[in-house]
Order: sequence, then structure tokens, then C-alpha cells
Amino acid sequence: MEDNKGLNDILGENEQTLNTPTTKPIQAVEDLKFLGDALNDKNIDDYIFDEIPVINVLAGYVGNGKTTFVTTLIQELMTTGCIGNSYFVDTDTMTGFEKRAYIRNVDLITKNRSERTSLLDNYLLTLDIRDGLEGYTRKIIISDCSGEVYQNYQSDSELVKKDLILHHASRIFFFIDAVEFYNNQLTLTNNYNQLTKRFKFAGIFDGNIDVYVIITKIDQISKENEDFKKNINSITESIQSASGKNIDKTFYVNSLVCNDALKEVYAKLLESKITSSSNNGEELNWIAKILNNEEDRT
Amino acid sequence: MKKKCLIVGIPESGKSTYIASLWYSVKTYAKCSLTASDNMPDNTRYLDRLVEAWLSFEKLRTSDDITDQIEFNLKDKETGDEFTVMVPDFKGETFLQILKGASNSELQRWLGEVESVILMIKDLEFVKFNPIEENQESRTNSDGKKIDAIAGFSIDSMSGASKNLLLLKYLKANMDIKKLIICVTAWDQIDNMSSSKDFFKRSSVGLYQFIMNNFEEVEFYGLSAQGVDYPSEEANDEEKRIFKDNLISDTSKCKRSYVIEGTKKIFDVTLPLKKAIL
Repeated sequence: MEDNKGLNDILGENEQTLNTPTTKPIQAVEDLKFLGDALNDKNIDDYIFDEIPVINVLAGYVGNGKTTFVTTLIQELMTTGCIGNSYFVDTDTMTGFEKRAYIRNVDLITKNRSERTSLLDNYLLTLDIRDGLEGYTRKIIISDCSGEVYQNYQSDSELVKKDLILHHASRIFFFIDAVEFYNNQLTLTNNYNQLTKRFKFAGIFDGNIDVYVIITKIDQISKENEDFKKNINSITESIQSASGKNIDKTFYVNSLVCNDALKEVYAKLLESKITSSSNNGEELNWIAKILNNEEDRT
Repeated sequence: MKKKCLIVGIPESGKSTYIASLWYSVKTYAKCSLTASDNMPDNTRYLDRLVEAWLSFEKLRTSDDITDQIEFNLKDKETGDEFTVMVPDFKGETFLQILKGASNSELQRWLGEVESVILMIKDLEFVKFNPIEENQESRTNSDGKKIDAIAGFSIDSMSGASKNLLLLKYLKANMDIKKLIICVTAWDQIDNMSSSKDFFKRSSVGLYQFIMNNFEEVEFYGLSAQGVDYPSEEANDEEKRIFKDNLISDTSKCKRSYVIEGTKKIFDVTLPLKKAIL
């Protein structure tokens, strides 16, 4: 399949790999890499070929509910077959999903977040989704880095600059733990504000990217808590101000229960995304643009 | 004419039990759609061992990959055509090892030679909460450092639906599958009135959609090769005797092993094989 362009090819020959940099050492556990594991910067090309994927980045700190979010997503797709009009067709990373389900279950039983260093090497999950039972099939990529990665990004712009998946994301979902926010409002607001500024400085928001905020574990906060609602608005406004982008929507979810609120987020994540180029109105997203540039050069 | 068919499945999905009931059926039951031709294969030692265990109501487990000793010389009852079918009996652990990233040269050779696959599936579920060992409550080691949770993960921790999806993806990537026959095994344990296809879809819709979108010719069967669940060790002698008498009677009258084709119960386990090779 020499004609197929992978992500690394598409991004140019000067950039050999897509890094998910971190100042902490990442330990790959070689004997735990199974068939169908999550993908990484080195093998994502095997999945993409020359098709244009929709890239969703789940950004958030340790314990903010990203793992539970993706676990419930695959659970819903495998047991009901669809979310809205998005039908499950395939995944190249079933083991990656199952690993996350395993970790979530350990956490739920021990009520204690465990170490997850071995996950950092494989953070890209894939889904092939079809519109209706007969419609067009699209490729969805979910970037599910560990929270430690974003802790490092918060303090180091260079690391953010090197993350090409983040640079070419179609959507970013910022995960905020409602309980953590309730207990450490100032710290969390400061952290997300600074992280968003790093993103902004690195040019993450320059393209046609949608930004969403997901408030997780909302079931653990009283609905009547007016202070919480007001304060949550302050953190979303802070992210909006730092990014210079409108937050398209703030979702309030309990990721353990796949109710209508959570399904609305999943439906958004599984949507196709055709963006408009700023100059000529052509409907292309970033990979298509780069492909065109490559063709122009040849 | 020689035909080859690959029977695949994760451990305890019923591969060897099916081969045992198949060998007994083609030799014994004249009403089966495939019957043994008069020309017996030269070596049936392995098949005979399987049948002996099946007739003695012993649970069958394959300890080694048997890839060159299983030949059926068969006759199509409908057309009278005679042919030889070669069916390897790879142990379930071999397929599990494949999911763990291992390679198997013998399996790889077979993948290059066959075009039809019979997949045995017993566990269709995509579990919400995987079983976690109780001792994982202890999250620290002797140095007081946290233990990496993912280190406890293995392919065995995964759901049946996921293992089978991965197995099918592996086969699809390594061979040209013209026909895929899905057999939901231990059908006698399933309380179901709908067709085997509907049951499969209802039980594991994600896996069903994956199959229907990735394979062109697919057939679904319910299969009970063993016929009934064997009595537990705790059963008393009288219960065991009654069970044995009933099963001897059913086996003699061709009422033990059966398939579900559509919604119809048919005492002919050769149907999935016939569908696969003809």
C-alpha cells in the first residue's frame, strides 16, 4: 500500500514522529502490548491510510474522568450498537478500550486512583462509525493521554508545541471534575487557565477547532448548589478568555451512567466534522489540506 | 477433491466437541446432509479418541494443536459427490496467544490455504465490569509505592465479545475469508425462541455490526454438539445414572447434537460444515 499516506507522511518528512512529550519518564510495558492495543505516534499510520479522521482530544488532569468517559462510550456502542445515528462498525483498539475498562474497575473497587504510567505510550483510540446502517463510514480518533501529560503541558510550552495530534485536533474536550473543582476551585481554575494559555501560545486554537467543557461527576454535587453553578461559569469563562475561542457547549455528566446528557456528548464526539477553509470556501479539514499541498508540490 | 475448513474459537468455545460430534454423526446417522464415504481416512486415531470421550460424556479439552490428523472422507447426500475435508483442531490457547501478540507458523500456513472459517462462540457478552481480583485492594508494594494497575491486565481479563472481535480482525488481516460461519455453542443452555442470528444480534450488537460490516458471506447457527450440560461432581449416583440413560437414548436416536438454522432445530451438525465448504 505504498500509495497510502499515513499521518507521519502527511505531516511532513522533517517531523519523524508525533510525540506526546512529558517531563516524567514514560515506561512502556512491552509484554503488555497486545493485539488491538491503543495506538501511538509510531503506529497511527497503520490506521489512517489516506482517509481523513476526526480527531477528538480529551484534555484534563489526573482523575478528571477521561478513562471512565471512554469506557462508558465503548460499553454503550458494543451493547446498543449506536449512539443517535452513529453506528459502531469497527475499532482497531479494542484492547486499548478494555484496558481502560479494567483500570476504571480497579479504581471503582479500590476507590483510589492507581498509577497508569504504562498507558502513556498508547493513547490513541479509534472507532469506525457509520451514519445510519447504510451510510458513510468515518474514522474517529480519540486522544486519551494520561492527566500527567497535561500537568507537564501546563508548565512547558515546548511540550505543547511538539504535540501534533493536539495541533490538528477537530475538537478539544476539557474535563473538569466537579468534586475536585468544588474543593479546590482556585487551584483548578488557575491550572486550566494556564494550560489553555499554553495551548493558545502554541497555536492550538488557530485552526477550525471546536472547544467543549465537560463537567464530570456532576451527580456528586447538589443540583441546588447555586455557588457551584456560578463558580463553574467562572472556570469556563476563564478557559474561553484564555483560548480566545467560544466554548461551544458545557456538558454536565456522570460518566458512569449513559443517560441522555452523556449521550449528547458522545453524539458530538462521533459526529463528522467538515470544516471550511478560510480562503476559498473549500470543505476540507487539516489532513486534506496537507494532502493537497503535497499533491501541489509533486 | 480436497477441501479445507478452519474451525476457530477461544478456549472452551466447543471446537473439539464439535469435531467429535461431527465424526460420530457422519459415520452413524444416515439422515445427515453429509455422511462418511465408504473410503475411510487412513488415520482416524485422533478423531476416534475425541468420539470416545464424547460418547463417555467426558468434557473435551485439546492440549496440543492437531493440524494433520483430521480428515473426513464425506459424501454429499444431496448430490452424491464425494470429497475429503481437512479440519485442523487448534487449541483455544493458540488463538489466545495470537491475541497476546504471538505468532504461530502452523496457523499461518493454514490461513493461507483456507477460504472458509467456522467460528465457535460461547461467550458473547461485552461486560461492563470485568472481574477484578479481591487482592487488588492492596495498591502498594513493600516500598510503599503505588502498584501500576495496568500490570494486572491481561487478555484473559477481556470480555468474550472483545476477544472474538480481535480474533476475527486477526483472521481478516491474514486470510481471504470467503465464508464465515458463526456457531453460537452450548445452545442447550440458552433460553431463546428467536433465530440464532437474532439471538446473536440481541446478545452482542456491537460484535454483530462489526461482523456484518466486515464480512461478505456470513451464516449464523445455534449449536449444541454436547447436547446437554453434563452433571456436576456433586450430583448423586441416581442423578448421574438417569442422565446417562437419557443421553445414551438420545445419542442412539440421533437426538443429542443439533443445530439451530434460522429458528428451526435440526439434528444434523454437519450443516455448518456443509455451508462452509460447498
